[in-house]
Amino acid sequence: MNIQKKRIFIYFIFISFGVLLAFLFLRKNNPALNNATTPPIEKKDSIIEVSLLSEFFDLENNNENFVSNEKALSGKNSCRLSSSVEYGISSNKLVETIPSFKSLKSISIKFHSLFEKDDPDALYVLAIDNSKGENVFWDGKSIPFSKTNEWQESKITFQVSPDFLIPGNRITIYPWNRNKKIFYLDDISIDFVGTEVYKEKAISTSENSNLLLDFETIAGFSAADNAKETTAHSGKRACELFGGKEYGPTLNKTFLELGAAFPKTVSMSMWIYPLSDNPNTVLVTSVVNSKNETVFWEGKSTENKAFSKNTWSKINALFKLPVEKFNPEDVLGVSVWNKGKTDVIVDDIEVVYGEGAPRRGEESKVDPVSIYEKRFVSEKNKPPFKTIWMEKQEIGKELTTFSSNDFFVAANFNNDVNNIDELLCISKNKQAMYAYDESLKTFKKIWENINPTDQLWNMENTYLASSNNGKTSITIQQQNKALNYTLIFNGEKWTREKEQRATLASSSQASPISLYSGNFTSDKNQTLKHDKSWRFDLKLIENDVILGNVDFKGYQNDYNPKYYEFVKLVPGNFISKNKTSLLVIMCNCTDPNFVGDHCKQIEDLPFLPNSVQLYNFSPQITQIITDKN
Amino acid sequence: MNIFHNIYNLRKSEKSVVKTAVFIAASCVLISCNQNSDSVSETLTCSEFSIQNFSPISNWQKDSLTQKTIFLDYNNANSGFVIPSVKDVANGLFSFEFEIKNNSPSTQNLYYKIYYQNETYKFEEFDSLTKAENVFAEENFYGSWENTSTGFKTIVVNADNRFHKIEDAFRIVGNPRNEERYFHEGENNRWKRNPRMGNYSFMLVIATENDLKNIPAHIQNINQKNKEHFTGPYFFYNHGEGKNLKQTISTVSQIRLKVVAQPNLGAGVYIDDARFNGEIDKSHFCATCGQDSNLYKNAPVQQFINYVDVSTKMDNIPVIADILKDNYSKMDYNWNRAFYTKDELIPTILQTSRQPCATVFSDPKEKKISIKNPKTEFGEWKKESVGIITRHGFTYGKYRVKVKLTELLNKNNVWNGLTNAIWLITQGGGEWNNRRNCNKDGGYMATYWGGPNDKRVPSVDYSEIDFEILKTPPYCPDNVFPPVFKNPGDNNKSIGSWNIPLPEEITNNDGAITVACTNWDMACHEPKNFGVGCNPITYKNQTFETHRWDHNYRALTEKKEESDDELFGGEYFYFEIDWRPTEIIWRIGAEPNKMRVVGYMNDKVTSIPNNQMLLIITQEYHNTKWWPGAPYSQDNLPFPLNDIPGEIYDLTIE
Repeated sequence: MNIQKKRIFIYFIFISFGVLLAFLFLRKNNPALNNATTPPIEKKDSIIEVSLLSEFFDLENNNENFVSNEKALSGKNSCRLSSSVEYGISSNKLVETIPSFKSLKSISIKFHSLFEKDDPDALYVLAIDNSKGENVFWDGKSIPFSKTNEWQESKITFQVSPDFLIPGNRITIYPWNRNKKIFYLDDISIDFVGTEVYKEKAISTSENSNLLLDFETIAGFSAADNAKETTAHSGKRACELFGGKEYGPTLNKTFLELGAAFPKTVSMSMWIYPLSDNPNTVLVTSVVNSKNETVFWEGKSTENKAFSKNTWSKINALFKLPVEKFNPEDVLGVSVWNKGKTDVIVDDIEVVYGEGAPRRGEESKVDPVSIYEKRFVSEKNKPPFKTIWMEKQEIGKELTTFSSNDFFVAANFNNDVNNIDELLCISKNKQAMYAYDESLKTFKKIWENINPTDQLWNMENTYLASSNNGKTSITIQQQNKALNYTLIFNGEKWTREKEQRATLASSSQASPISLYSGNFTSDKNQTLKHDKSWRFDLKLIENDVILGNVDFKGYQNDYNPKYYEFVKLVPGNFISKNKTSLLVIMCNCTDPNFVGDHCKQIEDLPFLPNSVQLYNFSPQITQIITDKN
Repeated sequence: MNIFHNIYNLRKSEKSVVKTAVFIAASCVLISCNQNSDSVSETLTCSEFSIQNFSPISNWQKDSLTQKTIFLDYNNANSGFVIPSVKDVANGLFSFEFEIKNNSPSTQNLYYKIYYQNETYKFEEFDSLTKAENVFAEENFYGSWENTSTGFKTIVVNADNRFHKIEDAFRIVGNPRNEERYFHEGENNRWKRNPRMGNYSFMLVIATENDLKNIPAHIQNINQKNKEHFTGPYFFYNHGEGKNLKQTISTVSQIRLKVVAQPNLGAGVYIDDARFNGEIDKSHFCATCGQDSNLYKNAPVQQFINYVDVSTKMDNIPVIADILKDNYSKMDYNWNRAFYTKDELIPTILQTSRQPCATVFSDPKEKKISIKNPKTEFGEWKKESVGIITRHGFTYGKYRVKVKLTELLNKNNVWNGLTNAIWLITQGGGEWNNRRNCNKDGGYMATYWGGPNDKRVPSVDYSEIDFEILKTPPYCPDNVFPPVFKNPGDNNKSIGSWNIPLPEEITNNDGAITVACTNWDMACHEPKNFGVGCNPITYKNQTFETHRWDHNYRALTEKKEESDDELFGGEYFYFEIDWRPTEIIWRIGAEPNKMRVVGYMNDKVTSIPNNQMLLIITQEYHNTKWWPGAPYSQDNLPFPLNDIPGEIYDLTIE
């Protein structure tokens, strides 16, 4: 090993040791890093649980021997188990009638129970019989008992082995009053829960579940050959159904193409321009199985409705789909049937499959009774969280030239005694530093790079502020350069203080989580945790406790930072040495595959214009947090 | 008919009234002859006698010659209204008088009886098709002396060719036919059939002894039935056999009495234990709200607690905001809808107050009632409905309220989740308050909460007539219903994924709220034009579209979009439910003389209730699943940050 290599090796050891110390120090002072992190948000295309089939029994329309009107949680009736009633209301399902039954994992029963005296020690039973009626599986779980003469909600879940998910098998779920005591059950909901691949594009984006056929293009449609330039509701083209033409455009999709869960509805609308009175044009939804049998057909006609000649009128329809009849390979078709064979023009057909994707995450653990009885207590770092509001501050227009693509560093570069931070902004075309003028309520420029060829001030560089011996400096790591430079600002310009071998690691993949330390609402060390992996998620953390979700107030119109597609946060003591403010740089991005790090094509939307805003936590909010402490 | 015999069957107070009347009558016959009486008004004559100057309510508003008005006295009216009350008139009776002359050559006994009938809310007595009494006319509100067994009273009139003034008295009371149906444990619960509002006519009938024998017992005693049915005296004398009695004069006075109910809303709010579950919290009780004897006797309203279906649990977004004041935007709504995880949601059911008097206030000074949906706080999330209900039931009436209920939309036209409701509901009670039988396809659906497979029964006591005002689209015309709502995504890197615009059916009327006018006819198929889906109905050149989901659906609804700013943005607004025997008319307006019709139904399309109902005014949270097509989902709307007030300035029933 030559001297040069030894030197590098020693440098490496020292730097590694320093990094390790820094890491341990940060860990110690930011326990939130360890403990207060929220569970990772589900990745796209992950496995999620969905209810394949739901049943609800309110007992209002039953007349079996277990139905009683003595007690009821809702309506007038409930299921009464007694000495003469051993078995309560049951649910029977042939396995093949459960949509996507192969993915069935569990059956969850949610119900309300009311006990008169003591614990009846009753069971909820899941039984599976084969096609011959022989029992192949049986499990019973205790119906929870906690109090008498008061309705209580309970949930029981049975796991279902795939071994029993055979067509012909019958699943039965029922309460068993094995000791023949008196108790009541009401409002029983049974969910057949399965797993599906959560395909964001397939389900939750508008591209697939929301469709509009405006006939300007006819991609995806069949029998749309009569689309042409004609009298159109929008654009130039529409579809003519002239000369007795009976069948119009058709859109076919298998349920598999539509995503994980079967859509339970299809909503449609269409604009129609009849050229004669009394048109009879039908919006149709149908399902055809693999044997080419039509297993569902429903339509809504314009007949006998107010569709005036030579006028554009709209027809809407909503069809409920009996999903238990369908298989994933079945084809769901939406089409236009010109049943009256009169001349009509149709345009702007809108189709919406299903009612939207379910929300992410697991069911809320909050007990509604605890809210009702005013004894709800938050669990540490578990939702729901309080909302902590930041109030918008006036900052003038100096910063409007910067975007979220740019680089910002906040520190007391001026090294003044009041410990107020300045804001260094590095963009492709402008590099400048600003200080907040409290009297004018604006950021004022105190420095700007006038030499565009100066490689120190370049978007490609990495900038890091640090403080040593009470002096704040900035270290600049130029891209692909062996040296980095430390500069001090003297009030007018930056001067090089030292240069050293580059040690900054190559850029790693940006983390979706950013942590910012500061004194946002108190003099204690606090952390703002910005999680960009899904929504704009900003939490204020102190002493390992999530104090709340941060939201914003005081902005114009809808210009809430959390609504923007591309947001950069820069905390700093811009206004007060004791209170950390948050600069928010926000913009929108037209990049088709924008992931949140860098935007090639920034877009200024009229209803959500790009801007830079400064926020402070208001004293009122501080009080709330103090109360919590 | 021996009135001196029957007098022993009367109660003490009634006895004294009758005794006084008879004494006066006798005195008149003997002393007070008026020879000039026939010069005052039209004289009605038969061969045996003549009458003139019939004045039915001579001790009330003497200066009014044709139309008199009286306001119901709500003091101590729990056992039923009496008209007039002792507060209105010293002895609590209307005096009536007439003059009579004996045209025969000898002194004779003549017989008189007074009847009153509510004219505003009656079925026409005569059915021009059957040429007989309208089968529904027996439901009309008519009466005579309180003691129905007091048939005709006797007067002895000398053959002196002079008119003699006869004075007597009566009052209008509930259950005037003293029907057993409204008795409970031997007590006549007159409040179960309170006097109807509107105009009353007065008919005087005088007969000779011979004719009296031809007046059937069920006409003389209105308590009695003829073949299981009551026969209206107005029909009998004006269209029926009574018309042919030669020596009987029946005359309906030109003088009408208009009865109006206008309770003093400053007289307090009573708290009925039965509306609250279990032990009630009395910490908010005060002089104008609570359960003291004064409020029990005199408060015209009580706090209303909505029926809460606990099965309609919602998982609400964990947001607390003032939608109206904070200018909550559609973008706020869309973001909150898209970007909360399930475990962040607040499981809740729509609530009602558990602290009586905490959210309703009676103001004696301004004679108004204030209500508020209470604000919510972190950890105590709630959407709590609030309202009041009247304590005295009526059948039919024009119910007009002057209110300033909460605005429903903010400047961005986002709905605050509330439904302002002014509605009538059955007074309940079971059989005594049953609607008339529904005679087709098994009758009414048995319960209002049951599903489509509910059994059908001939009669039910449930009835409801609603104004419900909220943000939801009309169902008709059905070619544009339901609106097509695009599915939102949850990609925060693409605003278009989650910030989905509302369909144009909604945004075209963005500042409008829907006034839904509903009659719960319990799916009775009897009306000639009973229909499902959308069907037009015309009233005074205005066409409305009725809507019913299916043949078993219990309610018929009409919807009209109106400006939220107009209805709830001003200082007050009027809402009126004009409930008549054969039709219901819903009107709204800035002033009572500027009302416009927003809904109309008649007995050809829906079964009009004929039982006794109460009025409710509420600011309610509804589960939007009840309102298909509603653009905002209740669970995606925030909990209220501030109290949401409403004011009720006036209630008039006429």
